[in-house]
Amino acid sequence: MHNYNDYTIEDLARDDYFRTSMLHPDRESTAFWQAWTAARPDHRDRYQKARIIVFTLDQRYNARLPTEEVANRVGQIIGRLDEIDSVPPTQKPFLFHYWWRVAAVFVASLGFLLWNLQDSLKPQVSQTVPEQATQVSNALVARKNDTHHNQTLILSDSSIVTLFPGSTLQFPGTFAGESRKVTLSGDAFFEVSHGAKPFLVYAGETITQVWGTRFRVTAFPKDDLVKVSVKSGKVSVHKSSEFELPASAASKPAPGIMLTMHQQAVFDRNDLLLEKSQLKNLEIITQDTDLREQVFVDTPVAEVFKELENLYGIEIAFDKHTFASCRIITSFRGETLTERINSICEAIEAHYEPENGGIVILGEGCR
Amino acid sequence: MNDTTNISYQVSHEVLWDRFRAGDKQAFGQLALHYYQLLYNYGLRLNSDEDFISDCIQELFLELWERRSFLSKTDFVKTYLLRALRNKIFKESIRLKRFKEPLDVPFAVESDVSIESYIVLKEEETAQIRHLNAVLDTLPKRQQEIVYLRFYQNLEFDEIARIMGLTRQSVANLLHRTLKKIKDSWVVALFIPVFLYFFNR
Repeated sequence: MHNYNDYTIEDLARDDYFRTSMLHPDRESTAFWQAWTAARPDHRDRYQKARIIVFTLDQRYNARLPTEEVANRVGQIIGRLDEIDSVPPTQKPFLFHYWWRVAAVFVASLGFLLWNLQDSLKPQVSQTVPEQATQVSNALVARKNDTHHNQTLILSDSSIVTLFPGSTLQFPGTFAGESRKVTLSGDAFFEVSHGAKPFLVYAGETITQVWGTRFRVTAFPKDDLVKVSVKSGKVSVHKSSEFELPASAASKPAPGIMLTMHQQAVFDRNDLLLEKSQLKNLEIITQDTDLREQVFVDTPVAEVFKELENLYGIEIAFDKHTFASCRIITSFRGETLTERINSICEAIEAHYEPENGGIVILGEGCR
Repeated sequence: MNDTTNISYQVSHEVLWDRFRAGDKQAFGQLALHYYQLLYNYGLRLNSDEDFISDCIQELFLELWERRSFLSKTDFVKTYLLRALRNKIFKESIRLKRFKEPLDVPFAVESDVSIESYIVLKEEETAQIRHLNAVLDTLPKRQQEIVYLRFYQNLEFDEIARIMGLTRQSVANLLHRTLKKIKDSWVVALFIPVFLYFFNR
């Protein structure tokens, strides 16, 4: 989102964010445009006229086919491509096809034999794997985002962390003990899964405690301020000097401040004060990656995973050979990362497990 | 439109187009899936026979595939496809004698939704939308098409010019005149309630 101050009626009416906000308003966008119209007296008039244009054109020209119908028709088109290609400049004799098939059967049988051979060798190899895996999972993992784009990490409790450039997150391979503890240096957006254990973010001189919610923590060592901004749910923020985990339910809660939706806590390293305020700039808690569309028609699943990796900056590990024959037809828009992965896993009869911030796809493959 | 999404969108579709020209079915399918809805919507403006439009779109894609090695690189996949569909519909319509010459170009209002279905609208907004709709109805078909391409399909002047076979300047002029007409009518529309208010006192 950018600065809309100089936008004319025409610019607004053609702006994607404006149009979506008008036709499909949500709390965030409504708050944004309310603030915008209040900011300058002439904004109100521009807003109102652009709004009328957007609705008028939508009402006039909104004719859509159901998504399944579109997929169906595209499928018909794709199905006829071979027909077009099969009209070659010179027709091949029938025999060619015949020998080609014999060769294919031969290759397939050979593959089957090799596969069985490989299977008989397998047990010795796979026995060593679980040990390695457990060793890794209990250790602390540190991930630093050295790139210029956001990276996504999935923790062992399925919480999702968007790590912004120049930031480091430290977390255990699996959460053991009384709490789910991670340490942040830099800037990250958290979507914490609901769980029995509290989720703790150690960042600079602050500790943020939550059970399940979405919020952003910004704590670069070079900055004077540490900020915690809440998108939804409830979190409590504490100075790390004053914080202790409640030993039992009876012990008194640690002092700190409670934040709810669209509130912010700021810790100032100069005066060591932790203060609460209303969040003015809602952009910083907007995650627009989920709005990005992805479309797959009969796409090899390796390519689908690759595109997810690119879009979210997450690492996806899978066995290329096992899933070599899996193909995907789907389209996404508005789905979260986990929804996208779940839907793909469902299509290829697989499941995923978080591992060291990335995920591993496990399954039998497709026929 | 958001700058960053705009850039990545252009790059990825341009890349898909290149892959499609090299014979990649996946890329072709993705383009078809992405643009089908938009082509269908545009097609309905030019001919309200849904079956006819569906046939035209299918033929358009099959012809593209057949001629893929003769197609050139393009940075404007959307524009290319919209213009190709427009030409195809005209050619077929003339062949089937649906209309006599390209100058008869219709531009229809076809929609699945009513104003009442927008529950977020206030009463006076609904009235303003009806009014603007009436103003748009009075425009020549060509100007209606420009408004549609500019505000519904979000295209630039160059792209509209390419699709409609006009110069960039004439698109800019036509749009300027159209917007002026809309704005003038707005002054009247906003003035009338005030006028009636004083008149009734």
